Amino acid sequence: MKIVGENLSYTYRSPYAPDHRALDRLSFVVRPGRILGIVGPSGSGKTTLIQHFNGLLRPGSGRLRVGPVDLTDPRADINWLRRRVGLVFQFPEFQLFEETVYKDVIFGPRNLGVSGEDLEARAASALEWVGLDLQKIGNHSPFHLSGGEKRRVALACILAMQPQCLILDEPTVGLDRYAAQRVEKLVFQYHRNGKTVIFISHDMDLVARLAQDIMVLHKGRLLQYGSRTDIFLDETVMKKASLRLPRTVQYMRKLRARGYAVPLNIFTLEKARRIVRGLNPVSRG
Amino acid sequence: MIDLQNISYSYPGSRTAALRGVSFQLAPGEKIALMGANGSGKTTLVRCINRLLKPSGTGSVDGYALDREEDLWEIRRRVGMVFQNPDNQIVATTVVREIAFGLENLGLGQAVMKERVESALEKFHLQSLRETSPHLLSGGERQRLACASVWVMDPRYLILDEPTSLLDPQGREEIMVFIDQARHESNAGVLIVTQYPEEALDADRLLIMHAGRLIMDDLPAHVFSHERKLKSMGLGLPVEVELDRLLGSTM
Ligand SMILES: Nc1ncnc2c1ncn2[C@@H]1O[C@H](COP(=O)(O)OP(=O)(O)OP(=O)(O)O)[C@@H](O)[C@H]1O
Ligand SMILES: [Mg+2]
Repeated sequence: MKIVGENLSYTYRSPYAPDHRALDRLSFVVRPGRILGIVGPSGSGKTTLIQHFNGLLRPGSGRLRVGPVDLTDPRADINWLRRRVGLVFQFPEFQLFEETVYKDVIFGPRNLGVSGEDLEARAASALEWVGLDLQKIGNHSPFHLSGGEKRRVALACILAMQPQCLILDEPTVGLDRYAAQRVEKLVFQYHRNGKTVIFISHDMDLVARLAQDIMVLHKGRLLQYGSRTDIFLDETVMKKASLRLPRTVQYMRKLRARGYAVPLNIFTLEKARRIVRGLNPVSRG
Repeated sequence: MIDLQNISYSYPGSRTAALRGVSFQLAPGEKIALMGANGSGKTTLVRCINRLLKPSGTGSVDGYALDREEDLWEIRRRVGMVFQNPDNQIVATTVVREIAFGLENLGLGQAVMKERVESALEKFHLQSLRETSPHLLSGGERQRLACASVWVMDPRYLILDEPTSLLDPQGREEIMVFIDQARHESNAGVLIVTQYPEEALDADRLLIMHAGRLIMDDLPAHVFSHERKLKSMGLGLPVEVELDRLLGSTM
């Protein structure tokens, strides 16, 4: 699904506090089928932006199109959008409300008209994606799970709806490494199926591994939007948005400082391992 | 010192025990990191330390016994907790009241109280949000608020359950500075639960939980030398440690 913003602005208004312009004239195009990471300091507008993508918030001014839906139009078909754009919140545990994990996971697909065995199959596969076993925890109360387990169930609830576009707010926070790796695999699987994935994260290692494109927000403005190499090697942008370099890139910089001729745009541990293994005595000198 | 001996706990109605015979000590000034897969029992252990849960086994905080009703007040005042989901800990209607809440029971004078609350607001960059309802804060702001509410109490021990997970790098750095200050200026003992192996590197000891048991309690460097074992439990090594090992020398 293609997403196009033109001068998109949004202002939070409250009787108790001064108006707060959370998004300030953003213009961008998210190409369909890409994996986009949204980064920026806290309060820079990341969560506000993604809440526009499934119609939870409507543009204050400017324009926004998500697929065929023009969110600026008051008659926009928000239901159509919600069925296709799955959004997992920062505190996904608040998305859980049923008595059992199973009931929570089938809630969405049932509303989409899925029934019978299909429903169970969807629940089983969605839970498997996050490393949980329907047989084992299907009858548990979601409120009696550990923090990480709750997050995994909340993610499964959205996956079970098989959205065209998947949007994740801090998807791996609180997950152990095994679960985080499953989520990463899932993102790549969605990508291979031609779907769009958008995620927010403060974890630059995760952003480096997953994102093809990166959007940098800063005080509600779009500071920069480009490929991950463009962003991570742009010192001005990194500094202005107080972003940390991915650890693999940091390591490559240290190697360079010691005289090794290594590339800097190394974003996965596998690649970094290959580089370090391949350092022969000559390049070591 | 916090001293737990042979602590076990099962949640009501659950067939498996969440904690099985856990023992460990935390001394003043010491920093311990605690890692483990989701559901391994980390939060349950943390809840036992200030008796939000009543485990079997024995335990004490500076000599005050965990199972003595009369000691509970002293224990809670000595042990400051920051929980995984900061929402569970919010009780008041504004940020400034939330921070003052715990202090109100300490019998301090108004002036002292006010001064402490003001410095907490400043220290955790919450001044502009002082009259905001805690429920309207962003995830990272809520984590800062939780830390501020604990900091004002000047506790002897800090127990932090994934305190930086929602913070941006700068916010994370600030919390780490806060932890170090508490250790070095007030000689506080710190237990920090984390999923980021990098955050465990500078701890005095690293504890690993697996299925309700404490299966390692050692220097972080020693724990991270058990790469296979950690990976089989769903845990990872710090990137630098892994690459240094490959390089065959420490950078
Ligand atoms: N309120 C509860 N009632 C019943 N069982 C619970 C409850 N809270 C946790 N459990 C179970 O107890 C075990 C330990 O949970 P705990 O919350 O201590 O794990 P954790 O190590 O903190 O995990 P995470 O990394 O996901 O936060 C898990 O199997 C969990 O499902
Ligand atoms: Mg926990």
